[in-house]
Amino acid sequence: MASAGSGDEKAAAAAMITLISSDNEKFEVTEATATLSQTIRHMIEDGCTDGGVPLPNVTSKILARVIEYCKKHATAAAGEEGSSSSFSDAAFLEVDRAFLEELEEFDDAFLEVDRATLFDLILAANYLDIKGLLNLTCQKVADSVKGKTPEQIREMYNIVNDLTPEEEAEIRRETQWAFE
Amino acid sequence: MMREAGEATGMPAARRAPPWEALPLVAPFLDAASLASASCISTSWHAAFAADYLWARLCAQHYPSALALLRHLPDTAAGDRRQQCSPTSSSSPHRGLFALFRSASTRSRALPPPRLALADVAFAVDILAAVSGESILSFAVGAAEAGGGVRNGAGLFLFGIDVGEHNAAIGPAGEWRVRWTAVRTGGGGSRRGDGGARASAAAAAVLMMDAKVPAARAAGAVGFGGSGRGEAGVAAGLPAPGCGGARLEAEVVVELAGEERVVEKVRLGVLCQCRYVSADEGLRYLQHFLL
Repeated sequence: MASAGSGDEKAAAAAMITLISSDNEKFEVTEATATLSQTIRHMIEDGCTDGGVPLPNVTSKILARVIEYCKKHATAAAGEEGSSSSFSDAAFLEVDRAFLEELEEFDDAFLEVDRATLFDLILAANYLDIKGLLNLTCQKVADSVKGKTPEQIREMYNIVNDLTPEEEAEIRRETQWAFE
Repeated sequence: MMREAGEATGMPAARRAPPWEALPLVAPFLDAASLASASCISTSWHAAFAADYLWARLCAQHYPSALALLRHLPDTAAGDRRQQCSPTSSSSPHRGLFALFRSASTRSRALPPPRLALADVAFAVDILAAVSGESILSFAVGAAEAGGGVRNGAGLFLFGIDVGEHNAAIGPAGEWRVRWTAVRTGGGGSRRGDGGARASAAAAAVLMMDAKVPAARAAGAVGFGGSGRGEAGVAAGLPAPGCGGARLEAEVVVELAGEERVVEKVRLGVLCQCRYVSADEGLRYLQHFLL
């Protein structure tokens, strides 16, 4: 299967979209990569991408990561489309499985970021409307919280508790069942 | 590509607080217990995870029928009476509903311990000649002092009172009657620790039994085994407690000795389907009438 790099080259002849981060950095991506974002897809459909797409809510650091994700998953989507026409072919299924595993590994590695970046990615995925990325990042945060006591969560996220003792007692009383 | 990830983790920016405005996006991915836990982290976390729509969704998922109940429930069940005292507690009706149904499935099936103690109860027993109504033997005793008098009676609502020193003889007379009254003499219940409430709590009594011992049984009481000793007993249904439940019976047995049929011991017990009930069960029964 094609690597992310050669995928780019293949699509180079196709339309390129310029994304502009909040700190004015420009990113050239293929349309296939960009349209993983529903927000950008709609902009393309509306024909208002000439001169670049400004994304005032996304920094260059985060946008670079988002594009990295989209490139990988755009080629994955292309691969799936290619194989669906001949899915009876055992060899293709084998390749598919290997590719899906590779994609999973990519996702796991992709999520190895500090917590602030993870939250930035959630906001970007939400703003750009990239369902796969939003699910991936939100699930990561949800998993980190699951089964933890409030104390453990505070320690993990370095959170100073700004609830008054009365407020906290009140909330705990209402959710007592969760702590039994 | 992987290198970038490494750079990101190594950045000093790792120290900055994450943008918490992303929390509401995470909320739908949490299960109920995590949601509850996450809602008492801080003000911003509470705002994100205590939102009513999240709990409405969980109710619909776990307890769909509960949603129809919401308008029938008093406000206190949903717990919004504290809204005045805390700005953070934007108490969610659906969270209250979820807690209610959650508690229904985990509520302990075991009965609560009785609110009445043996020390709070006394028994008054009259044994009368059925025809003349003349008293043969009358006594009153604290239930706590009467507990130990019966073999294998430990832990049961079964009491044995030695009354030999009364020297009361039933005699050869035909029928006799037994009247057993249970009386609350102590404060009882949750107010027991409170001296003031104890003084003001009025005593209460319930008639456990008022029954005739049939002539045949009374006559045949003495003499089996030629030992000159015997016993005669009578059992009668108890009034149903407020909650219904199994039908209980009170039983009074008198142990008699000699020709004159001197009453040596009186046994008092409560039975359920021919078995003595436990002390706690007996007290739970009594508290329906005495508290």
